[in-house]
Amino acid sequence: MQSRNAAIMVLLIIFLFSSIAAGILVGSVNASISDLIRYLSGKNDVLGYIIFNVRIPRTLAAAIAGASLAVSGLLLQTYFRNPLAGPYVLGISSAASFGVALYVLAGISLIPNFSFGMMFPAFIASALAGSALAILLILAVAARVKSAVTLLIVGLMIGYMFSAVDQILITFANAKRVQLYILWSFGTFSGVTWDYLKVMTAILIPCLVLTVLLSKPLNAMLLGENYAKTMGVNVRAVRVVVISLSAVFAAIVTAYCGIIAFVGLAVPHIAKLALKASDHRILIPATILAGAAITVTCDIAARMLLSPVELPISVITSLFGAPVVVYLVLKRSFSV
Amino acid sequence: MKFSSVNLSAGYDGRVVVDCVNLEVRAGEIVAVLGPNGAGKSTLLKTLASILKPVNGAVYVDGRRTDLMNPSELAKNISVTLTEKIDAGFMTGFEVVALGRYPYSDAFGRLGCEDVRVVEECLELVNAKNLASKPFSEMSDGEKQKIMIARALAQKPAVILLDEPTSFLDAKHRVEIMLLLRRIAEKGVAVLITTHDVELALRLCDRVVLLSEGRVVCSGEPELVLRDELLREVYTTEKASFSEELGTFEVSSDSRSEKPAIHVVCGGGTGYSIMRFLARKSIPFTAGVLHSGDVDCCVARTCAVECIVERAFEKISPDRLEACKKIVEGKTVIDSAFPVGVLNEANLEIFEVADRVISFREKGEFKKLSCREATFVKSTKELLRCLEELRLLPFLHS
Repeated sequence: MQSRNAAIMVLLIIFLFSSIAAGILVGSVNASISDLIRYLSGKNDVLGYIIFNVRIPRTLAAAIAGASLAVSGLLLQTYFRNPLAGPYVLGISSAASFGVALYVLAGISLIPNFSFGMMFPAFIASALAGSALAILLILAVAARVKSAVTLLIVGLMIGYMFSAVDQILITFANAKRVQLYILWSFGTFSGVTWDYLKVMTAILIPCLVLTVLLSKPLNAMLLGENYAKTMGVNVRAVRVVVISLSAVFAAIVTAYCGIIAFVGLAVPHIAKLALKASDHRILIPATILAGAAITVTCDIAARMLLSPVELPISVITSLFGAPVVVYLVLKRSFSV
Repeated sequence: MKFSSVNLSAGYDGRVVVDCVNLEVRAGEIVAVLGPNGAGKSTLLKTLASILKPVNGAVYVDGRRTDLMNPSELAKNISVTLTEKIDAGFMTGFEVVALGRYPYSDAFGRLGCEDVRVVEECLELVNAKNLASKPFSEMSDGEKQKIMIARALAQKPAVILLDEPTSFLDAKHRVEIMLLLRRIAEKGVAVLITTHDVELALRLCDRVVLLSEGRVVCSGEPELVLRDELLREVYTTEKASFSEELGTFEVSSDSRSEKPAIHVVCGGGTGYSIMRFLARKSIPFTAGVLHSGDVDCCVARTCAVECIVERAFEKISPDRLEACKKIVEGKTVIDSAFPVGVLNEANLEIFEVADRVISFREKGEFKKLSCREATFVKSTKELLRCLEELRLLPFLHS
């Protein structure tokens, strides 16, 4: 079993690195490493410029975003003991959309006169503000309610309420603004710059590391909150950390890359089935690797399938994710 | 070591479900909290386990209040098995038991040599070594229960609390778990179980706390607590009563008011299955003369409409015999093929006054004992057919 798991981890690492390499080199114009080296050595090379300033940040962002969403999904699936939980069940995506909708459709910025320049353009600031609102709401509820199921329902309802407001705003907005909003909500890695990538990395990588440290209590949580409590888990603390982490993952990714469907729901199941394990000590690293590799691959597909037209990333992740979920349900291996 | 609760009120959100419970379990003891469904047993257990906050009062382990312990300290003192269904994904039996080492293992939950030894020891104690590598999700209810108990043991607690440990289990696993709990207690652990299973409590536990409608009705040794009237009151069963001697519930003849047309003559354990059969079919009957302390007598006392009883090891006295003959007159008598000896040979005279006799004996054997005509049957099935022909069944069966 141990050697099988080790082999799978090695395969996942190879998959991740090869997908990142492909993500950097494959595109509407094919490039090679030599182009990049020429650009980096100070020569004026257009291809090298594209690789360095467009493809590398984009591909790395896809990897980090995919890893974050997948881990977020895993955390929530374990915490809620619900195989259908994903990073967006707590209403984060709707709340981020709400922030963007307020800004784009109604011209209201949730954070007036706030700017960190290139790192937080108004779009992203609005999405972050919306997500933060949802996180605060859900944490306030999490501190009061006892049952995980209640919290899950409250999260879903918060999501519905934000979506409802979004739709009111859409109804009254003009067509051009609606188009702008819809395009954001599709989700894409195309606009990611080095500046964005720096912020994403600075926030998401420490969160990913922190998640690994949660392996032990998460394993105990598999038996449910009551058992976890009697085994010495500080259930309330774990709850706050799990909710906060998964919300931050979803919020940051959504703010910078839009809504990316299915990665958070499907990848944890793929990791569990591949490893045939529920131990978070190997499940979390595997989910990070698989989430990153799969999302980068989906991004390549989104760029290449109908090149030069680029598909929204969610189209690919859904096309890939939905059959996986169906397969898992039919195989009845759809366990936590 | 002493586990106790003082004036403990358990409930949800300040609403009291069980009020003012004072109980005590010492190392090596098994105590059962007994009561019908909805009596508040599980709520009480969850409060004792610190899963729920007490509404009032406190729980103590060796004089230390459990609500002042930190989670890890609490886990080293008290462990629990609940009735919740568990979906442990791909976890194996060993992995589930190893979770019990949570309060002892390092920040990543890595097991040391000592942890592995304890897990293996616990698996062995519950006879589940063979389940170590079996996925938990593929186990039967009985196997899962054993693994969950091993997991609770792996916490090396002073007290184990088990919520309904034998419900959903078949007879074999029930007995296995019962014996297992005794073994655990013998290791010096204080064991507290909740159960609605009176028979289990009587056989297994050192003391019983009887709970009804949110309060403790009485507590003490099971023989003292499990008295018929008390149980009847708590469980409010009219169609069944508890036989103290046998420690089981017996179905009573449904219509005690109805005049029975059947009398059973039995003894020496030959009649209880016939009487249980009649009670099950709601056929009222009388029985006797039986000797006190005979298993047939115990069953007759709970099942029969009327039962004539002679003192143990005494010859059937003439007045008992007369009393019996009186109730038998005009009735159909069922002869259970009881062994005949000096003490009960008078019972043969009962056949003489009966309207008819149905006997479970061989024809030849019966002829040697009595000169009456009789119908011979070999099984309760044949008995039922016979009673049907004689139109002795309640309308339900006819």
